[in-house]
Amino acid sequence: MTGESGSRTGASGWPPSRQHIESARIGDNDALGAILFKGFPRLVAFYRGMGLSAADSEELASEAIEGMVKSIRRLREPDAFEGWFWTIARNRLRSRIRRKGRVERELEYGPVDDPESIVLIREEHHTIRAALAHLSARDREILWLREVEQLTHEEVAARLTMRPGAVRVAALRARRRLEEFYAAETATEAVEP
Amino acid sequence: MNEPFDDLRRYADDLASEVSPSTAQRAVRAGMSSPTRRPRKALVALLATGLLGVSNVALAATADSSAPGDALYGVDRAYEQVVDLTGLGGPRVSERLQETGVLVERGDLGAALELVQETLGKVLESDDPDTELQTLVAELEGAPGAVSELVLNDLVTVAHSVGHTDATGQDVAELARRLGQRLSEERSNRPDDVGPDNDNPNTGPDNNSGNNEPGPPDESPSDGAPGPGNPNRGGNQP
Repeated sequence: MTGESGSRTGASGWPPSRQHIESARIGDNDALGAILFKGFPRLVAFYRGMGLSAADSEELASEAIEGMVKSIRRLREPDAFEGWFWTIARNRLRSRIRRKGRVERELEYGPVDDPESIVLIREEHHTIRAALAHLSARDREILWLREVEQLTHEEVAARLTMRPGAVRVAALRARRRLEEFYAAETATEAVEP
Repeated sequence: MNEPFDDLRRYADDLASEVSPSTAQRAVRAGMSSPTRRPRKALVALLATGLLGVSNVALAATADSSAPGDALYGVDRAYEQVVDLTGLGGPRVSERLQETGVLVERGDLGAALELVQETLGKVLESDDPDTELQTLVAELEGAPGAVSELVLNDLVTVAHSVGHTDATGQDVAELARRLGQRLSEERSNRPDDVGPDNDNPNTGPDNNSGNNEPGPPDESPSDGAPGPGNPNRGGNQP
């Protein structure tokens, strides 16, 4: 399914093509800038999906971009791009949580604090947000990387320092939990006036 | 039932589409030009450090020995961030390893593993990752076996997933291999591990495979459960 960056590049230009990644890897700054420009919104979405505010997410995504610029030369090959990208993204999240004196597993699901996005996010995505809020930070992360970013079990395992088999089981459980909470939220909304 | 997952993907797409192109452009430009912006940031940070240093030396000194979970740990990391802005910081390998040791002693393996992962991440993103990696492995000489095991786990993960084709990338794998070998030898030489006669180093409780290659990455760090690569799997408890 995945694992080869660029093999499933869609209309959104993400993930980037192998050719773009290879150019960036060998020092083409324009290619790197174009890739990170496309990646920045994915990072912000990921951090917001993990429960951070819009402002915090943008700040953290900017830090991650800076880290990626510094470490692009450590990317082994184009196929390793998504692993590299999400490893840095996750490291930044961990550092942020630690700086705030909290542990990752206690990350709370934050409020929608961005006025201009309230209508869209609150109304159209109320159910999924409510269901996500019930999940642990780890379940949220596994689901996001698997279902949204479509990383393989092996890629997720490398990010979370787990075995692929353990990720498979955890992803299955997280999916079930999300389905249950989603159904419960849908039922609650149906009976509410 | 695919509805929640379709909804999740739409949610993610909407969150991503909310980011304005100008914000993304600014972030990328700032990231790509950050080394040239350092001097001014460094000057401000130096002044701030000086002021903070004069007024809060005692607090900083006390906070310096704190570990994650301590009341002053936030102060310690805040001071580090200010110093980092001067460009004099770095990954602080030694300090992080000491904190990891404290967490291991307290039995908080989940937090210890998170700290190791954070430290290794910073090492690999630093300006001179090769030297920092060598420093990391050198610092482990005096660290408890459990801390070395945690670092080894993460090194193996990094070697498998993030690296590159030149000599530096191979260095990560080589460091992981050497560290694994050293840990294996240390375990074999520990009298407690090998039994009273110390004749057969491969009979120790922690010598589960007899080979010196580093094992696969460990399982979930959040629950701190012992696994094949975890520090409390054999006689290596600090």
